[in-house]
Amino acid sequence: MRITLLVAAAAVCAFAATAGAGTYSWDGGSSSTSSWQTASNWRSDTIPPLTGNHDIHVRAADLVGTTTTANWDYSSSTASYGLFDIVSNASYAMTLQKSGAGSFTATGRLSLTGYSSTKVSTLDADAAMTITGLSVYSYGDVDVAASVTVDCNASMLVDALNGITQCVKLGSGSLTPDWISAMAGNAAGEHARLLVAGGTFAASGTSPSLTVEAADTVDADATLEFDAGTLTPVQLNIYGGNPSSGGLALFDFDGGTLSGLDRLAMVGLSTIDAEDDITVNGELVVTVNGGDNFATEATLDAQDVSVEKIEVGGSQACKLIVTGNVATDGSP
Amino acid sequence: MRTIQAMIIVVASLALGISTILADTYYFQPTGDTGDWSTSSNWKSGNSCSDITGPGATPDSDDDAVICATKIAEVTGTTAVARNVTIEGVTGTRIDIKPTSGSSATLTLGSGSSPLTSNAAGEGINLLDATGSSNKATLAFVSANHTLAGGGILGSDDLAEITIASGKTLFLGNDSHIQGNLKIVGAGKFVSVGGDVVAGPSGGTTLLVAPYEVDDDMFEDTRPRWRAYSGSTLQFSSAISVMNSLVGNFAIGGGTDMIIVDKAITTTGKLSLLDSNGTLVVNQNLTMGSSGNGAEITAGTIEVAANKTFIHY
Repeated sequence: MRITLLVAAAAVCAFAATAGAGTYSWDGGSSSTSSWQTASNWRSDTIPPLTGNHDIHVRAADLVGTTTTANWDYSSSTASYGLFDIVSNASYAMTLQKSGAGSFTATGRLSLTGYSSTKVSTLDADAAMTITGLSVYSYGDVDVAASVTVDCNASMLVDALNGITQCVKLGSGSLTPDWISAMAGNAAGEHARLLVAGGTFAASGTSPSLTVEAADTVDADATLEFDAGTLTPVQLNIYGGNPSSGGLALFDFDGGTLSGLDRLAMVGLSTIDAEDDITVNGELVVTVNGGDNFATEATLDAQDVSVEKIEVGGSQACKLIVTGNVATDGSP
Repeated sequence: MRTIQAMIIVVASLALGISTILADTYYFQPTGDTGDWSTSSNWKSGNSCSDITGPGATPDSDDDAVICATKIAEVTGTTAVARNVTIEGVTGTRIDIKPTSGSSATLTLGSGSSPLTSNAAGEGINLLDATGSSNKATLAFVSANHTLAGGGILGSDDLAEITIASGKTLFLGNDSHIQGNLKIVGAGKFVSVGGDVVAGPSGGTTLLVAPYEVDDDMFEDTRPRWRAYSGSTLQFSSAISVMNSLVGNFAIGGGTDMIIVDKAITTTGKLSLLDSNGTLVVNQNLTMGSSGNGAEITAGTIEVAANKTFIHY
């Protein structure tokens, strides 16, 4: 059910993102510059208009040259586009770069589809930008030195439905989707991994949440590895699969700051491995509800976890295994 | 004639009343350190253990019994009774209830209170094992409320029982304890007002709390009150019909220890889960914690049955 909802939500965003009036494709035809404003870098040598919410493709398959980075470099212009599709292949790793200080808005979803760990698709934000949803369907780097506001009603979805997915959020800038999900698909071996290596990674909506969700009935893991920076979801959901056959949902908290957390939920085969302290201003909830016919095994391996309330229980038997320090303050 | 008969009746009644009020007190002083409860020569009359005036008799249900310092009274049959038992507070002073392969052993305490004043752990009353036998040791509280005012009751066999009669209460006072391998059962009420209930310290022991009603109004909560350690299990049985105001903390630590909750409990006490092999098994709803009395978990497992909830504030 959770996967269904997430897919449905993604579909809604994707539907909203199809509003582009036309499509402009990067072909990297210039041998000397990656400038957005060079006509030879575009199919038909036509630079996308700044207005009209046109869709933009930055796809390796469309290349006629070897310039694989599309660098939006307007210093003061205001632009509004539709959706973005950045796709690498076995030969080329594609990058959408935003270096100009002008105003950049994507009214549609920005999708990263990498080919492999060496042929990733990258969003390289050196200046602030606003996009409406961010999807990483396979190897994708999100390198943020400025502020990227993911504004949709809006999500960042790291989705392994189409293959092995890895998203690495780099840089010191902030990435602020309304909700974030690292979700493994239903094909065996298709894992999802979201690595936050720096900057602020904040869920900023009215009920911001971060969800790490593994496959329910096949061994497809989902991992959120947090090494540095600031993570500020109000709700953190670690949704694992059936312990007998499902994937593991892992929140690997190795460093940085996790703040503003009001609710931490662990469901199914879920693990929190934290080298740093976790403070939950509200509840730690371990549960299995609905028709899942298995027991939860939630492992909480943390240095110090401070919560206001621990609640364990659901319609199925649950087990919380603690290998770190967990404390409540005792106040109802 | 009728006047004489009336006088006889009055005198007889007075004599009966006096005998009821002036129950005898007998002091257990066998020749050696250990003697059988049922051997009358082991009991003395007098004003205290240090002021013996003559031979005594095996106590009946109206008599008070005092186990003198360093003496061990062994109960090997099922007929041992007393109104009160006082065990002097010196190490090596106790009652051993010893079933054998041929007989169970029971000590029944009657209408008085039964303070235990031993100071050392393991002293008080021991309920021992009958190896290879289904015979058991029983300490029965039948006719009145009783208070353990110190010392303890130590079980060595999960067949051993403390039984509390219907309508009666066993109070576990400050600095007293019930521990080991036994059951607390019966139709009465079990109340701890400051004592410890401990599964352990010997590994693998089981302490089953299963009186009909548990009313635990403990006011001292600075140390654990419901404890399991050294691979032992403390279990709140589903046989408990009423569970009132449980206050004590739960402590699990030191081995494959377990506290099992088969009766719904709401307590202001906290959980201290301190060993990776320790487990809290929640088969009925359990709510714990109060202001300043939050959970302390460093390692261990909390298992919760389907449709049940463990909540700790």
